[in-house]
Amino acid sequence: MMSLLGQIEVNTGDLHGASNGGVLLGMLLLVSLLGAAVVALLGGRTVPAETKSDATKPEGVGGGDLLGRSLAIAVSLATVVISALIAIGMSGPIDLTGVPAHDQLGETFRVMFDAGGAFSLDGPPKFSMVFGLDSVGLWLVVLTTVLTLVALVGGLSFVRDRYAAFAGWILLLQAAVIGAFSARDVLLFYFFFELTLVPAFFLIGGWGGLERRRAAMKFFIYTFAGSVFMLASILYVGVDCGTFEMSAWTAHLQHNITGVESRWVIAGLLAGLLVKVPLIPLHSWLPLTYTQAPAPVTALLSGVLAKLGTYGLLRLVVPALVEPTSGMQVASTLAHPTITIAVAVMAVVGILAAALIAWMQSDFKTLVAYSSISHLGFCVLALLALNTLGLQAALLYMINHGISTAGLFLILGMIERRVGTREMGLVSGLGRERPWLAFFLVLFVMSSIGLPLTNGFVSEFLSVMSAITADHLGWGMMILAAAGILLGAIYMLYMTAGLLFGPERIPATAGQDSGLASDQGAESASNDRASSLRRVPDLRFGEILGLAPLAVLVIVLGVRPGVILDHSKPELQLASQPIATIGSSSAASADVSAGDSVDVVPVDVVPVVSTDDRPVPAGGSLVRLESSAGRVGP
Amino acid sequence: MSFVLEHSYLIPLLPLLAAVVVGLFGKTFLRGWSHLPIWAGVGAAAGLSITLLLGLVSEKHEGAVGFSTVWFEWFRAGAGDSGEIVVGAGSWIDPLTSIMLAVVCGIGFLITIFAAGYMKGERGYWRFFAYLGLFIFAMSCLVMGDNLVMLYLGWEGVGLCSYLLIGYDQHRLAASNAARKAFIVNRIGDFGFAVGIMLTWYCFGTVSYFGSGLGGSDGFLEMVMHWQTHVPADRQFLVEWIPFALMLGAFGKSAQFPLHVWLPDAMEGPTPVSALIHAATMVTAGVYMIARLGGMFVAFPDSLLVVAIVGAVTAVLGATIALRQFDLKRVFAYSTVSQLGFMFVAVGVLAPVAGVFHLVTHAFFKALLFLSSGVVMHATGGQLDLRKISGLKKHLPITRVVCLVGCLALAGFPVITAGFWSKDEILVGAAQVSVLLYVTLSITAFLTAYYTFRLYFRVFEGPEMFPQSAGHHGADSHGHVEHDQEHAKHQDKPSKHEEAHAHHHNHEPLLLIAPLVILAIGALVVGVVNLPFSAGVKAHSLGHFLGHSPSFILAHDILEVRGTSIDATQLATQYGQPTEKYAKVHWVAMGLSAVISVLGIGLAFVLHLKDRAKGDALAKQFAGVANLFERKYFIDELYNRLLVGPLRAIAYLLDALEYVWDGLASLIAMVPQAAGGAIRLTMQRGYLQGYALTAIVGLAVLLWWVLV
Repeated sequence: MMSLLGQIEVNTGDLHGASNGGVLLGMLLLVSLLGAAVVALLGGRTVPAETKSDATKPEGVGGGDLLGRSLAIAVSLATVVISALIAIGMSGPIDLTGVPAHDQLGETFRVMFDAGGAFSLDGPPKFSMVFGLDSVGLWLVVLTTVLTLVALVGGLSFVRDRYAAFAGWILLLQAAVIGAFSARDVLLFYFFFELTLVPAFFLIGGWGGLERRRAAMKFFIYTFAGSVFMLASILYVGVDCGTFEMSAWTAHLQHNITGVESRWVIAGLLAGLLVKVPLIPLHSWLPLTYTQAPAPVTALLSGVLAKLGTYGLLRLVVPALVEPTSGMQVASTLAHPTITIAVAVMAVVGILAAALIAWMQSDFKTLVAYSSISHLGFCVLALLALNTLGLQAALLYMINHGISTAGLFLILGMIERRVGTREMGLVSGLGRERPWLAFFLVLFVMSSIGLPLTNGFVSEFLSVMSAITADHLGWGMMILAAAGILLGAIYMLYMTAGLLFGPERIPATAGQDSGLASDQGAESASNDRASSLRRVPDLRFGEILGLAPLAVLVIVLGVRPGVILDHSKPELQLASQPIATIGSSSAASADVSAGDSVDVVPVDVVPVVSTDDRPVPAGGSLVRLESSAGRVGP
Repeated sequence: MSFVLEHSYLIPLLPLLAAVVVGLFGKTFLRGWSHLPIWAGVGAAAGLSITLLLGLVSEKHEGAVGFSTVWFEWFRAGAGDSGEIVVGAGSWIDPLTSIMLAVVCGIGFLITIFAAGYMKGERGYWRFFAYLGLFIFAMSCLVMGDNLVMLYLGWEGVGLCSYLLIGYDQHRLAASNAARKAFIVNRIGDFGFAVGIMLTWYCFGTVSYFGSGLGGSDGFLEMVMHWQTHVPADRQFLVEWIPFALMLGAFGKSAQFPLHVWLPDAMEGPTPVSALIHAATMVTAGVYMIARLGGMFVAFPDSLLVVAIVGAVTAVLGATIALRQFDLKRVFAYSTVSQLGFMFVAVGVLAPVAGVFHLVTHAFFKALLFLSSGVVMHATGGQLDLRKISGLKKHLPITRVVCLVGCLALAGFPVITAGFWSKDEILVGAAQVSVLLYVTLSITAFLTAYYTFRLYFRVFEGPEMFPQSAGHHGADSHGHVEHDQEHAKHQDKPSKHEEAHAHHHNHEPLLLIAPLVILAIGALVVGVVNLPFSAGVKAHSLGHFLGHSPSFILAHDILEVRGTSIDATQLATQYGQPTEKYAKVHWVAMGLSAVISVLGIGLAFVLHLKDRAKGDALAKQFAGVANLFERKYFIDELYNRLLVGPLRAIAYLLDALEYVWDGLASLIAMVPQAAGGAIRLTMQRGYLQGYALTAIVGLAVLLWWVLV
């Protein structure tokens, strides 16, 4: 181990090369990580999840619990503010004039933060603790912080014991997800990708429904098994390439790994990422997990964690699917037509099959769980269009799906708590006396089925449309996907009308378990209006407050999706282009493939002219690409 | 007028704001006053629209008239490798828009006034008005939008409002089912519409009708004339499918066969909704679409043939079913389906002016008829069964008169009603294309006159049958069982509203009657805007006004180039284009349709007023056919058998496969579990931390092995 430490090559620790945004990014990671620890430690008893079941203790806010609650919300608010600051700092499309269109993906990174410099273990490959955000990562990070806040606020009413521990895990989950979205090193990405499993496991196992243990185990093992293959692929390419730095790694995968070799590598990556999404044959973990996890956690699982899969596809797989030799102006040609088509078929079949299965569910949480599978099929399909439109649509889809599905799971969780069941057959007619509940449910459902002026519309529309713009997908796939929109409306309205409309029907046991009923309904037999409202009340102020940010986002992003679309266009435009052979000379790329030495990764070939006066990291052979805002074209 | 053009966004915005205000404060503060913001918002929109219409009419125009305003850029995506889509939120105002806006906002305003009286005391009063405001917002976006995506926005928006308003009476299962059915059937149409939009963009590179303005050749309606030069060669095979995809949307929204099944069920909604959404405005959106996108359709003649045939089939279908319906509102619903079929025939046979004309007159008389059925329902406690009410003329004198006006207009009673003139235009247009079409429509017109007056004679004339429950306000519950129970339950504490009813027996309060009278006047005189005589200066004035719309000009240009079998002067008239001489008046057709109308009314008089027993006997004699009509040709059943059933079966199968697949996955998971059994005994005890540790150690070993 000593020898390992001795070989860490460059400057650890300081925030060199970090712009203001970089400092903020570092703070963001730090705050959520430390916040998790502080909340868990200070906010009351930290009971390990295994020794649970002190449910006998009357709920009620102990002193420690109150501290935990306020701390957790404060930390979460702080992360929202920081991420908002980063977003404001990065807002406005960057000026890419003068930058060749085939520039490297990595060069458009706008916020960088170096936690430890690069170090390698006795020679290549190099591993670097570098975090950075371009607008793709940025919006996903903002989504993460917002949804975490929503989950924590929602958790206030959902989680009645050990809130501090719950919040601690949630914040750790947030830290891990932010780490994954901002990692500029593939291995680092993998580390955080896997790290998310730990808090998710304890959240499901500790606060879930009756089958929580089984659900947690299944979730963990299933996704872990998938990602083992991904790790193998990452290591294979990284070792071959000599560095895990993301842009170099993807360039290497694209240029220097070919034939059968590359097919295996991509298959490995897909195994990890598609399980996470999930696409349909790889989804068996999902229904049980989503139904057993408590509503705020399900909201995060589907709203944020699933996006790790699609984000990984965008960063690691999409570049590898584009033929490196294809021209810059025309649509890219495929490097792996078979894989691309196969995954696209999976996506389309998934859209339709999951929608039909959702239609058959009598449990409303399972129904929405399947709808999530169906919807993410659109996202994957858009990614596989492998062009700017598709990637923009996919990014917007990730954000929008996160918002609407989180909202749906939360509102359904609130309904479940009130009526004490998830069976749609047992509940109906809730809408008549409960306008807030009806409003939020209808709003999120409309967002989910893509009604114009809600956020869902633009992303769904563009995703489906992107299929026809890609020659390898074509109009057939577009029409099939569009049929998926139709099916989506059917099962969603089936659920909505069932729950809200019709004669009011509430199970006799409703309201006894929720802690919401203002007094135990003694006259439960009478279906009188007042008593039914007492047993199953409308949303409370706190709950409305929790859902309101999502509702606002649904409308805002429905009316002005340009916030994300325009902002991310430069990056995604580049991402859909084949990453050029680094530099313009083929010699350089030949060097990369031939040599094991990382030094060849060409500092000198890419014309990086930094107008910033901060030092370009010296000594390290890792190429750090500066913020392109400060770069002048060749 | 220039104010309205500059601030066109106010027309959708004001009703939206009103809806938001009512949505936020209706339940707690506004309560029984929730109609006020909506009156203000919709009233202002109506004022603006009518100002706009009058302004455009009063100005002298040459050639195309169209004003494009961009409110803001909605979204923009894509780049060179995929093509870029730019969608602006903006308005396109031309004569067609202004007429549609005046109909939507004007009639919408009258109906909100009616609704305030009609819905008084209903639970969820505020909710109802919030939805109405939202509807006017969406509908005005639909007719004002300057591109297909805006059209789609309004399209889906009115669908949502329709869904919410049909399901308004939420405690009734029938209402809930009808709401869902309406939305889903509409979505089938919208699927085609969405595909059509995508194909349009893919082929033409834009979704804007006329781009930044006329003449720039940057809107797809401008390009469609020479589409071969504008559409890339490898995409040309898709172009001709665009109108077919789009018309699917039109069929869904305008309840054309086979997507008509939702509209009759939609009558579960409150009556003002039926009048506004399911008769006067929303359901005509399909006609508007085909008129607006005329160029797209005429460039591919097959598509218009399909539109005309579907329209004719729907017209016959609706009229025959209406013959054997007994619920007042259902009769009107099928009549709406049938009349919409007429409009589709009109746009299909290259007579869009006639189609829009009929759309306008129909909006008046059908809204009138629905509202008067609302008054009847108000008076009879929800009883609308033709077999159970009769001779109401004494109780509802004013309603009887205005309803008679509406019935005459629907029946196309010659000369004095607006319906006569607009229907005649359509018949003339159909005759230009095919005799078969003309005969079919004429028979349908006969049936229309018959079933309309069957209803009128049964309800208002003859021996009096006034249900006992009269006086109870049974808003739209049709004497439903659940409703009765509800009433029984609340009898101990009658609502304010019911008390009010107990005190006065005036069944025709001013708030209900005033809008009816205005609509009745409209149903009589609106016809003058488009009289077919060549003598007067104002001949075909609606046509000449509409003819300034670029949609009509461009479509006509395409037709001129392509050539049709229709006489050039006649064609120009049907598109409202200036011609050398006026088209000849088709006196014979006019006379025939007058005779047909009177004959239909006469037959109804014989069978349903003079000798009702004879009418019933006749129905018994043809029990088979009558049953077919009464059961609506079993189309709902066919849907269930052929579409829903198989789809459910597939879904069921897939759901079952889920268990198999899940079991398989678990089985795979058991292999390492079994293998690990031995190790577990010695090294691990099943804690996750143990597994994680192993994983990390394994990773370290792997790294070590690879790197060193």
